Amino acid sequence: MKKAIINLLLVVIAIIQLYPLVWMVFLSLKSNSEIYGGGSMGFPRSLRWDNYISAMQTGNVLRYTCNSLVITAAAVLLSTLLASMSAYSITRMRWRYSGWVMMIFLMGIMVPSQAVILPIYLILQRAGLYNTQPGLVIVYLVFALPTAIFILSGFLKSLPVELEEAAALDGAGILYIYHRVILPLTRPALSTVMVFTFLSCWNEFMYSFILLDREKLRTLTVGLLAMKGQYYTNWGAMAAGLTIAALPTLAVYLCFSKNIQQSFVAGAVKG
Amino acid sequence: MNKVLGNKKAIALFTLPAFLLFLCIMILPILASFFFSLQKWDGLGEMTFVGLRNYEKLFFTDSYHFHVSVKNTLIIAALSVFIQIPLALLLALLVTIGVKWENFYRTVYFIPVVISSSAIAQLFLKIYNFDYGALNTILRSLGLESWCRPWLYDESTALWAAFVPVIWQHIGYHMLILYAGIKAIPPQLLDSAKIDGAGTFRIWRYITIPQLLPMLEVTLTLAVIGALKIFDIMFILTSNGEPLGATIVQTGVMYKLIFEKNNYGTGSAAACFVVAECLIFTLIIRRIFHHERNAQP
Repeated sequence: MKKAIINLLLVVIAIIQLYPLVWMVFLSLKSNSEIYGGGSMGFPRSLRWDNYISAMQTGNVLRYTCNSLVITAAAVLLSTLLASMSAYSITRMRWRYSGWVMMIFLMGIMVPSQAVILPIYLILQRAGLYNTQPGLVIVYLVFALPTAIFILSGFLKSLPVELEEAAALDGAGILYIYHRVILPLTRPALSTVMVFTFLSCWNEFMYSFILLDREKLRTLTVGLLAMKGQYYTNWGAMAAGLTIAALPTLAVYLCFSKNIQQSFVAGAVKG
Repeated sequence: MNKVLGNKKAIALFTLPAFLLFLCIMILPILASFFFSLQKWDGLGEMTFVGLRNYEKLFFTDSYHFHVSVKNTLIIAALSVFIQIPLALLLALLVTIGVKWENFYRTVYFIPVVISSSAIAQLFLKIYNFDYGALNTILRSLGLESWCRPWLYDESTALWAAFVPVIWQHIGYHMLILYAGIKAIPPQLLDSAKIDGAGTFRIWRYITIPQLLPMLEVTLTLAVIGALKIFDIMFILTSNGEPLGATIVQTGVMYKLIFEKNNYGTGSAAACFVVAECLIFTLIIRRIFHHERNAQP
């Protein structure tokens, strides 16, 4: 009896968590006459895939998606590379100020990104990077560094020192050790960091909204906002756009759900 | 060995690219934000030093709606603390008592977290739509026609309607952190309590929750900070504060001052206020929890 009530409660919550998204997907497959004719709730009468085509082409969702992909991919790769290099030199190499550098990086975790938007906007303007994709990539990559360095250095600390000792005895240089010995071993932590960064870059809104002020460059999160005005009366296409925006993160999440959950817990418990 | 691991050139090569970028795009901007908050500046003309005048203006200029935004932001923080976290805790506790689809629930509850707040906000714009939105349609089908309203455009409901997706989206996140905390409790502790005949509630009260305090501190801190710096979802859902500034949040005021009014000084004061608030609340929460821990050794 008690078990039944608990299970019922958990199922109800699961429905609450899923239903808005299911509603979105259903909506994206309905014609406008169905939506406005009292059929906005249930399962679509016939599957209207043309909403997706209309969102992709006239709604520019295809372009927004490509922009998001390019920016996210660049930010993920660069930040993971830079974070892994720094984390390696900070945690494994021997130099006097490594502790300080680590502390400064970790301070970044405490900074609410919203609070530095004006200086970043001005800096990028002066550097000629305002309204360019590389500008946004740099911002994303910097915001990703603290958590990435935190997770990677935690992992690197757990590797035995003998790794480097053995390699150094064999006459290997530091670049060889990092590239051939350490990097392959950190692969699990690297994938955790990459997935985490992917999610935060793909979903980021404020900086993209402010730093890319050209229709051609818009990312998905911002492009959907433009679509909202243009597609005020075309709910089907709008819902299709939202579904397209949600799909990549959802797919990555369902494939790597264990990894992602671990990385969110690791990312949270850094303070 | 030391020669290899102490290779100065390699250290510089590994550390400097990230570190320099970090200094320019993170550390320098924090200092700059504070510096701007003490200046009168529109971005074009001369800067003049005005001390704390921007902070004064921020709080006492009614048309900025800053005091409203602080109130709204603190309400979101309070809702997170008193509704979202207790609910997340309850879910984490229930899921871990040995229900059948433990992994399924955990995975499903977390799904909204991975979707962008921008998409979620737009989705809820549709859900709240007066004529065709899911909420009013459900109400009508239940015969509650009189309850229907334009949720986001009615001053009396807009704020609360906007909070729902905020709370909804992140419940799974807090639940997951608490879940991980519960799983990390040594099973011997729970087993011996069970052998002693303790019921579920007693185990929660005397073992699980006390053991979970560090994780509760983490989730509470994250929830409060997340609320204080909330922007995306409120910005889109309420067109940055509509109707009439009733739903504005702190970062929304900051955005208006900087990017709509070119008032860089006062806008930066709002930014610095948010940073200070985050630090203060983090310290308060830490204080409360350490007190708690010392009180029950």
